Amino acid sequence: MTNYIVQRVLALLPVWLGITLLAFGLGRLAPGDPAYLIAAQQSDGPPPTALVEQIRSEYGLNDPWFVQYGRWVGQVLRGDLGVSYKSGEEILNAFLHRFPATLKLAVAGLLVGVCLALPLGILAAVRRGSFVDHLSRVIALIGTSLPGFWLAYLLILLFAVNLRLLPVSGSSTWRHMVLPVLVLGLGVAGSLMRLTRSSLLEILGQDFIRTAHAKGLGSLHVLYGHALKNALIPIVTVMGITLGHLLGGSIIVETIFAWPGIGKLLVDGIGNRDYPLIQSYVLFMGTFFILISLGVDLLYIVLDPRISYVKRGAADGAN
Amino acid sequence: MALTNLRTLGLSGWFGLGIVIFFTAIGIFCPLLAPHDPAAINPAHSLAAPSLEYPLGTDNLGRCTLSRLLYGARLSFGTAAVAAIVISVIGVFVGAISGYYGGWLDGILMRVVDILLAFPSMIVALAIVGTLGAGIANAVLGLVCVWWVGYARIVRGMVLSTRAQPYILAAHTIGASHRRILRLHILPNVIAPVIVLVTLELGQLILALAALNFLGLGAQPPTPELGSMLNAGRPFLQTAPQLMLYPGLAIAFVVLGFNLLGDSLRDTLDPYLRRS
Repeated sequence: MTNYIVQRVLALLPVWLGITLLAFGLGRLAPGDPAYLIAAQQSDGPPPTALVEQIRSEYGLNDPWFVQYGRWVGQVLRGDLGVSYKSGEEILNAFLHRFPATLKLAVAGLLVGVCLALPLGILAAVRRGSFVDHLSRVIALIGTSLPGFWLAYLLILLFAVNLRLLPVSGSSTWRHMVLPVLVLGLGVAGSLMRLTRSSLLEILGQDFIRTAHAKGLGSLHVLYGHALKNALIPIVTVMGITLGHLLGGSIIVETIFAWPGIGKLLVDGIGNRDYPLIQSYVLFMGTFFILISLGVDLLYIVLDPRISYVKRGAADGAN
Repeated sequence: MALTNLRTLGLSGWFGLGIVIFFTAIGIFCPLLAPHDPAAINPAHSLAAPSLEYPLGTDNLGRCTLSRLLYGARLSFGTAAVAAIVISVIGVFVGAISGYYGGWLDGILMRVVDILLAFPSMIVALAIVGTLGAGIANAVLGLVCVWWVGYARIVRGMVLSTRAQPYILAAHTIGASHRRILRLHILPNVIAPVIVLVTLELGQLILALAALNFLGLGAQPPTPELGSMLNAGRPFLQTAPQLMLYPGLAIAFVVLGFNLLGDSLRDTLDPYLRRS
């Protein structure tokens, strides 16, 4: 099992390095001369050429890109993501300060999505072809077709403007959470439900389920004890990916509901042309997604003990 | 093969096809259909109710909502279609090269794919557009940069399994060049699933573009686009909710159309993607 964990970590290391390359490349994509931009912050009005040149050599901006990249990765590893152009705040601090709010929203959204998706998906699989099955298909279809940001405003219009039950935006009480979480949850419920249905259907058609029925086990016991446990593996994988999508999707939801998370920080940063912030956002989120996928990998061991014995080559052969 | 199978699209597939044709027609004929210039400002008619002259009323600047919707749908749909074409060309090219030649090239290309797949596509797209600056071309570019990876991965898988077929070995044996084999024997096997994939994903692509536009990173005023129209309607949510209702409905409909059509196409045409 330790082997398995070490292998997964080693496999993810190159991906993380790739993410740093991506984030670094993004920083170099930014229009304008970084030395000039930094100099402009330090002086009133247009900065003198001497200052620009001084900063260029001070920051090593004349070095070849791989030297700059190496230096930058070194800084990142020491936890230094630089400072925001706009606020002068340490970027890592800004992220760590706001990330819990984003995570809270995304996890609550995932929970809502799962609570809607699992029962409906199970029911749709068990009663295949029934009214519930058709209903679940229609709900999933609508769920994947509606723009989330539009749904957000429809909910605001209904619950906040017309019924006056919930606040329009902000984050001080739990009531502020209801609408953004609902938007996120409804957005992912549809596809999770279809996945639950299809993966459960696949398991239900297998021989060991027939055996379980044949030896006289009750159908609920077969469903929960045998079928669902096996169907959970693809569902957990997709839940990990979904959590990532929720964190990404929360960019828009946070903007709409003025939720003080890092998604809103990014959108504000884009508005302010705060390039170090944008670059660091990609790095920060990329690192977090890697951790999620590592977590999902580890969860497999709990769900299916066979996995830790499978050789890496065999497990990755499907790629 | 494709045309005979189209008869078995099913009701929902035909419904989806109908919606797609409807929006395509709007895209082509909107200059004839629109009652007004979508950018023409008329302060005297600000936020007017629907009338014979303005069938869906006007926005805060007195611009005809119907005309803006028609032109907006054209731009949203058109840019998504352009993005989809570029994405599938890049995806097929990279996937085919990677799957056919294998080796270190495959290793490098697939690591790039792994890295981009580690992110939700929206995050990187947003970061790219945010860095390059707002604009419809940059929005398309941002999405293209992240969206091709899924196609490359799927095409690579198909090419790998096709390459193992005896007829490819036979083609090699009679001296066909790699390029000829790729073009004549491998690519035709890949095209049908890719068309299905494009149809399935066009809806999501339209949604993603609309989201970028909604954040103000796409089309700039006064160009009408469905997502940016939603954004422009935000301050009037309480006083004139219809400004947000119509563009949202239009987006939802066109995406629904592509989802229905894509689902049915997948079921009829392509066993390869059916399980996904």
